[in-house]
Order: sequence, then C-alpha cells, then structure tokens
Amino acid sequence: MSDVTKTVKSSGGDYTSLNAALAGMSGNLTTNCGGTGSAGILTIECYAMQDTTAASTGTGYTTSSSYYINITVPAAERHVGKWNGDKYNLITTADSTPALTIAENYTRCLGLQLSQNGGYNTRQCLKVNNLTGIIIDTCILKVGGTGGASSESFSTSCTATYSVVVVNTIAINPLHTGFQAGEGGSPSVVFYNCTAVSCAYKGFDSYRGRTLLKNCVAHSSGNSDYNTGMGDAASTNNASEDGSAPNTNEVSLNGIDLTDIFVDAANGDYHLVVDSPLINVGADLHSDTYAANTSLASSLDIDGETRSGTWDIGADEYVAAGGGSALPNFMYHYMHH
Amino acid sequence: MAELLILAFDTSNKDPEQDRLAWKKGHVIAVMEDGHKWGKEECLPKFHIIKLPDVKVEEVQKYMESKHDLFDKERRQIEIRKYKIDLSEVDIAAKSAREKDVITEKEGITKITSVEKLEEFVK
Repeated sequence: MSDVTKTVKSSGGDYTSLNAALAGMSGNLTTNCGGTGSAGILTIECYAMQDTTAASTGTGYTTSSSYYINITVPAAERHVGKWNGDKYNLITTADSTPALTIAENYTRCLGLQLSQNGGYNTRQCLKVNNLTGIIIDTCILKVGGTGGASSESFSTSCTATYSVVVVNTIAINPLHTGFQAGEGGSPSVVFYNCTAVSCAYKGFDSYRGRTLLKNCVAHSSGNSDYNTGMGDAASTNNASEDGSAPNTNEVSLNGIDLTDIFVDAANGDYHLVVDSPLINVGADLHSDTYAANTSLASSLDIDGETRSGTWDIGADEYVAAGGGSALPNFMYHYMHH
Repeated sequence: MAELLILAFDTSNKDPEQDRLAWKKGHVIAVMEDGHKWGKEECLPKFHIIKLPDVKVEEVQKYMESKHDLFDKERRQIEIRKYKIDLSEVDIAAKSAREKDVITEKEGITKITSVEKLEEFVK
C-alpha cells in the first residue's frame, strides 16, 4: 500500500487550489494511487488560505472503502468551531456552482470551511451526488450572497442506505435550508451532532427520504426546524425550538433565546454557553456504527475537544475554561445559588 | 490580467453519463491573476499554463462554467465544463513562425496576446 499526501497552499505547496489537487490527482486509487503503482489513500491537506476556485472531485477516480479520497485540514491549521478567514476556506461566487462538489464514492472531508456567495437562487456550499461512503466531518458550510431562495448549505441526492455521514458540522443559511438530505428511505443520510440555526426555511430537510439524526440542533428556522417525517425511527436526542425534532428524547428549546444557548449565534459562534440547555442531554455516540471513521469515534467535538460524560447536543461540546468538563446543570445552579 | 491552469491529461469513467463529469484534457481548472505562483505540481505533465497578460480575469472566468440541466429543478450538473481549450492546436500555433500572438514561454507555458486569439482554440 502506498498512501499519498499532497498539499494545497497559497505558496510552496503542491497545488494552489483544492480543485487543481482533485483534478491533478485523478486516477485509480485501488491500483495506482498518485502514480505509485500501488493502492493507497489519497490525502489532500489544505493549509491556511482563501481558495476562490470552486472544486469538484470529478468522476475520474476509482476508489473503495479502503482506498479513498481524504480531503483534510491538519488539526493545527483548522478552524475551532467558528468561521475563521485566516484558516483554509473556500468561497465561490460562481452561480449554480457548489463550493465543493463530491462526485466520487468514498470521499471524506475534515475541517473544511466552504461558502457559496453567489447570486443565483439554486446553489449549495457542499453538494454530494448520488454516492456511497461519504463522510463530512467538522466542517462549516455557509451560504451568503443574495438570492438563494432554494439554496442549501449541504445537499445530497444520495439514495443508498447509510451512504452519507455528516458529523460535528455547522450549516449557516440565512437565505434557505441548512442540511438537505437525500432521497432514499432506509435511511440514506446520517447527521450526528450537527448544528443549523436561523436558517430562513428549514434547518434539516429531506426530499423524500428518511434520515438518521442524533444529537442535532436546529433553532429559529423560518419554516420549521426539521422536516416533518424525515427522521428515521432510531433518531434520538435532537433539539428544536418548534417541537419538530425527531424522534425520541427530544430536547425542547421552545421559548429559549439563542443567547441563552450559544455564545454569539448572531455572529456565527455556536459554542455553548455555560448553562446552555444543550449541555449533557445528548447520547454518547463514540461506539455508534455510523460514527466509525469520524471524529466522534474519538469523542471529539468540532473544536477537537474531548466529549466526556453525557455528551452535549450540537457540534460543540461545552468545556469549561481550564479544560474541565461542564458541570451538570443542577450542580452548576446549586453552586451558583 | 489572467493565467489559466489547464488539465493536460484525460480522466475517465466507464459509465458514459458519469464520464461527462470527469475532468478532461483541455478543461480549465483554475483562473488566477497574472504572476500567480503556481504549485509544484501545477505544471507538465499534469497541467499546461496559458498566460494572458492583456486579458482580465473576468473575461476568461466563463471557461470555468459547467453545463447544467436547466429543466431540472435542482439544475443538475450534466457536464463538468462547457468549454475545452485545444492544447494540441495551441502547441501547433506556438511553433508556427507566422504566428505572433501565441508564444511558447517555456515548455508547458504559453503566452497568448488576446482573448480573441484564445477563443480560436476553444472547443
């Protein structure tokens, strides 16, 4: 096996855009990864820069569950749960073109910041075609610009069962929908510990398919936080303001202001405040089948901090200053009153 | 003033419909400002660079466009690029003694003087 790593940097790297790396490294990863003559995993490391070229894997790869495309931002280079223009970010203004299109099976993304800032109504930050073996982990997906009446931060048309797993990811879309799931009914998409707040239409939506959601939060959506009936029966520990969270152990945020939940939601900071109702009400997913190969398997949150005790809901795990875990709410209130 | 990064090899997919979404030789992969410092692998054998010192980035941005199904509510992408640059024709022109508007700066890097001249190589 010959794994290959290439870098995307503003200078001194192998490529100066993610798109060039994806196009230039196209090939058969199961027999000849990066021209090595052997099978291997292709890792594309993205370093601090603003990339303005919309990217696509194209369909010219051959991949497998063992030999996949791994697009990553190294931990030391990564955002820490809030959009950071000084870290790697890909912003496109091209109409109808997603910031990143995944058109190849077995592609993983870790730590990316993607934004679609065009003016066309139908556009996405991250578009996943009808594929399998896709993992989206620790990403921030932000729709900006104008128009966007049918825009989505994340969108997939996948149909195969459990084909796309999205974890520790934040969707920001003041123009329409945060997470748009696929069409399969078995379910096809898994959302764990994802956050979608103040989306103009829905936080989590689904065309026709069912979706497995755990530890997700949506709030202040223009239409509804979650699409009715989208949640697979096993969905649990999700939070909503409007009572639409599927399916069991719903955490109600009804009547609770964003300022009592997040540090600064108005400015895209979805870290939890000390007494957030999302603290210690999630499910521990580190050994969950669909969390395998994601940061959740290592009990990490979007900041790379360790989730401990009873997990929190959303992309962030509250960790008190000094690194300790949050106190349970009743202890917090006991100690402060 | 613009520089184009153009793929210099074909990728393929066995499924003909999927193959329309595969990167091909001649596709414009990136458009950058004049003087851009390209990466170590953004050169032959993978890429050809065309320099357009008298052409604005906005004038060549259209070569990055993909083709979409306008009748589909999702505007599904049906081709990864609308246009290709015929690199063989660029090479032939650069070698012609009579051609003054297409100049080989060095192998894999060609300078073209106008967008009209570039369009002669667009398929």
